[in-house]
Amino acid sequence: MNCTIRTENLTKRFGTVVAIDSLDLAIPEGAIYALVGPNGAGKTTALKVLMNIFPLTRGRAYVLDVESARLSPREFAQIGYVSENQGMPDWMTVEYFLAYLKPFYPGWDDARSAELLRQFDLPLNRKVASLSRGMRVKAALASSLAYRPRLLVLDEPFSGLDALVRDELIGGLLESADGATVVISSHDLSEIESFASHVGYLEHGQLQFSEEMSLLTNRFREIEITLEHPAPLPTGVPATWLRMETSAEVVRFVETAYDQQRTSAEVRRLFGEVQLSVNPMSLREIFVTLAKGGRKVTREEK
Amino acid sequence: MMRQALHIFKKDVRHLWPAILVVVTLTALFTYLGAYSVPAVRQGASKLDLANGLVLFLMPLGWAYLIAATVHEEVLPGDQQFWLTRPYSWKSLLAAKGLFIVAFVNVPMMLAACVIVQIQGFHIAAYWINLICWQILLTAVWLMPFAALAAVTRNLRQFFVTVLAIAVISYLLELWSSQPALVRSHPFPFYLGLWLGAMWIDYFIVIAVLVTAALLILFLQYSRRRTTIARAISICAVILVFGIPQLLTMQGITALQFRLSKSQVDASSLRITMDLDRKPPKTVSHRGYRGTIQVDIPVRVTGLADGMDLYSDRLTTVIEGPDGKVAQAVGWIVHQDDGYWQEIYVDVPVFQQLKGKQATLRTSTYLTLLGDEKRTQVEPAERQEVAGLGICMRRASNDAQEQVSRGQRDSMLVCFSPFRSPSLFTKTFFVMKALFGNLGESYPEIGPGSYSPYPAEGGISPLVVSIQSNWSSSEPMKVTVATEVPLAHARRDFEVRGLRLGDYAIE
Repeated sequence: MNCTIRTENLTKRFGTVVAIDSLDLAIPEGAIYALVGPNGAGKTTALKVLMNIFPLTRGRAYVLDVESARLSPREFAQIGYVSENQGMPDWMTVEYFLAYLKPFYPGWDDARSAELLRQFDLPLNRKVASLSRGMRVKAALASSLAYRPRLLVLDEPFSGLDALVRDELIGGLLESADGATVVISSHDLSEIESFASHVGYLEHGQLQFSEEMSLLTNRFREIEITLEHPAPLPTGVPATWLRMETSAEVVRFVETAYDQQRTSAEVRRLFGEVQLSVNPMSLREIFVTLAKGGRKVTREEK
Repeated sequence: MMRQALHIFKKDVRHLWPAILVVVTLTALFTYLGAYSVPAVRQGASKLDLANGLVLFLMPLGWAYLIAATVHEEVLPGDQQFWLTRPYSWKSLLAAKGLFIVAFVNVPMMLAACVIVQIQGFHIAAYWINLICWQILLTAVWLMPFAALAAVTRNLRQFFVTVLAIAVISYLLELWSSQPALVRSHPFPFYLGLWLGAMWIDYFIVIAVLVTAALLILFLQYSRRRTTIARAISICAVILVFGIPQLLTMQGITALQFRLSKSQVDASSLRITMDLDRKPPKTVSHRGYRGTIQVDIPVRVTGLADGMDLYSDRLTTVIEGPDGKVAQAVGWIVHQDDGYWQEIYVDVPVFQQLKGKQATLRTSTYLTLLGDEKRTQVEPAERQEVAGLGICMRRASNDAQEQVSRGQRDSMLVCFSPFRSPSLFTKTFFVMKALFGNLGESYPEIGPGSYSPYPAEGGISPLVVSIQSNWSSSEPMKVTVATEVPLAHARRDFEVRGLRLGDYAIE
C-alpha cells in the first residue's frame, strides 16, 4: 500500500506537555482521511508537525516520501494546506492573491483557478481583509486546489461556518480533489461522515484507532436485548461490549466488533434465547461511545 | 532562485510603496541638508543645521520601519502564516528581503553620500573604496541588526517595543555605570573627548558581535525558523554589545593597537630616562584631577629624529615605597618649551604616605612618534582644504544682533573629512591678532587621529567631523591648524630609583 503520509512513533512536546504521543499513522494514497477527536486532542499539532510548521520531538514523519523536517518547495508545490486560523495577506485582493501564488506552482491551472473562483463565487476585487470567514476559507481553498495538489491538508476548515457554506465547500472540495489524498481534521463528525474514506481518532495526543470508514461503521452496532424477566448483568461480558446498561427487562450495549454470528452466539451464551435488536450507529454515536467508554478499542481486540 | 526572489520583492514593493516613499523622501532631505549645512552642531545653529540634526535622528527610524515591514511581510515566528506551507525557498525569501533593503536603503544612501561628499567640496571618485566600506559598515551597524530583530518579532509593535527596551536598557546602563570602563580607565575623562586613536578597536569588536549575531539569527530563522534559539542569540548579542565597552580597558586596547601597527620609521633607538639636570617648574597650569596630586618629573627623550614629536597614548607608573608597598598612578608625557615631562597623578593618600620617602617608579608608556608637520592658517568665512585632514571652515554665529549687544562675537572652526576620521594628528592654535608677537602661539587644542586601518566608520552621515571648536572673542583671531603624521608606535619601560615625590609635586 502506497502511503502519502506515514509516521512512526511521532511525539511532539511543548515543554513538559505532550501534545502528540507516539503516533503511528499510515494514510494511503487517494484516501480522504478524517482525523477526528475532541478539542485539544492534538489534531492541529499533528498536522503542523507533518507540514514542518512545528519540529517534531521524537520519531519520524514522512510526507510524500520525504521526512517532514526536510520538506522543500518541490514537495510544497504538491501540497495544499488550509487551516482554521490561517493568517492571510489581508492587503491583497482575491485576484492578486491568486496571481501572486501562481508562479510558485509549476502545475498551476488557470482554467481550474477560474472555475474555482466561479464555483466559490469569490469577489475578485475584494481585499482578503474584508472577506467573511467563509469567503476567506473559500479563497484559501481555491488557492490550494488550482495547482491540483497530490495532498490536501485541511485543519478544521469548516469550523464556525454555516451549513450552506460548509456544503458548498465540501461539494467544491470533492469535485476538485481529483484523486488527491485529503487529510481533514475536525471535531464535528457529522461534517466528515458523508465523504471520508478513512478515519482516525485522536485523544490526548494518542491515536485510539485508524481505519477505513466502512469497516468502522460495520463493526459498531448498538445492541438491545429484551429479557423475559429483569435480571442482574451477567459476568464475563466480552471486552468489546461498551456502555452496557440495563433498565427493567431491557439491556443495551455497544458492540465494537460486531459480527452477526459471533455476537448472537455471545448473547445467547450470557442471556439465553432472547429477543435481539441490532442497530447501526452514526459516526457521532460511535465517538460518543468511545469518549464515554474512555478506553482504547481497536480491531485487534476482536 | 532569483526569479522567486524578484517575485517576492515586487509584491513587497507593491504593498510597502507608501513607506518606501517616506524613506526615500527622508533620504532626499538628508542629502539636501547634508550637502548644504555645516556638518556639526554649533552655538546659534541655523534652522538648516537643526533640520539636519533632526533628519539624522529620523533616518534610522525610517530604515527600522521599512526593514521591519518588509521582513514582517513573511513573519518568521509563529505557526499560522499562510506562506509557511507554500513553496517558498528560504534562500529566495532572504534574497528578496536583502534586495529590498539594498534597493531602498543602501542605494539611496549611496547616492546621497555621493552628492553630499561632492557638494561639500570633495571628489567622490577619489573615495569610492571609502564609499563601499561605509556602505558595508552602515549595513553591519544599522541594517542587519534591524533585519535580525525583525526576524525574531511577530509584528511592528513587538519590534519597536524591543527597540525601545534596548534604548532604555542602554540609557539605564549609562546611568548606572556613569562611563564605560574605557573612559573610566583613562586618567582624564575630558582628555578622552580628544582621544580617538585605538578606540576603533572597541567599535569594531562591537560591530563584529552585531554582524555575527545578525547573520546567525537570519540564517537560523530563514532556513529553520528556530525562533527560541534566535531570540536567545539576540539577548546574548545585546548583553555583549553593552558589556564589551564595560570590560575593555584603555590599557588593553592600546596594547592590542601597538601589536597591530606597522612602523614607518625605526623607533628602536628611542629612550626615555629621568633628566636629573632639570628641576620641576614652580608654577604650571594645573589641569585639575580631583583626588590626586600632580607630580611632574623631568625626562630626557633620546633617539628621536629631528622634526619628530612624541605623543603619549597611555602611561602607567607603579610606585614602590621603601616598605615594598606599591601603588599605581596614570599620566602622560608632555612636551613643554623646556623639554619633556612625565606628568603623573598620584592619589592623595598615597602621595601623603610617600612624599618624603625615597620611592622607586616603574613606568610603562605607549608612545606614538609623529612627524612631517604642516601648518595651514584658516581664514574666516572660507572653506579651505587641509591636506590629509579634509576641509576646514570658520563660521560666525547667526545671531549677530545678540552678539553685538554682548560685545563679543561667537565663531566656530569645523574640519571634516569623508567617511572616516583622519589618521593625522592635529594641533589647533588660536591667537588673538592684537596679541601677535607678545605671546607667540597659544597652547594648542590637540586632536589625535584615528589608528583605524579601515577606510570608513559606520556613522549615518558620510562626513566625519575631526575638529570642532567654538569661541567668543571681541578681537579677531588667527586660527592655525597643524597636522602631523603618526610614523611609529612604541612601548617604553623605564625605572627611576630613589625619587621623593614631594620634590616634584605641583600642589
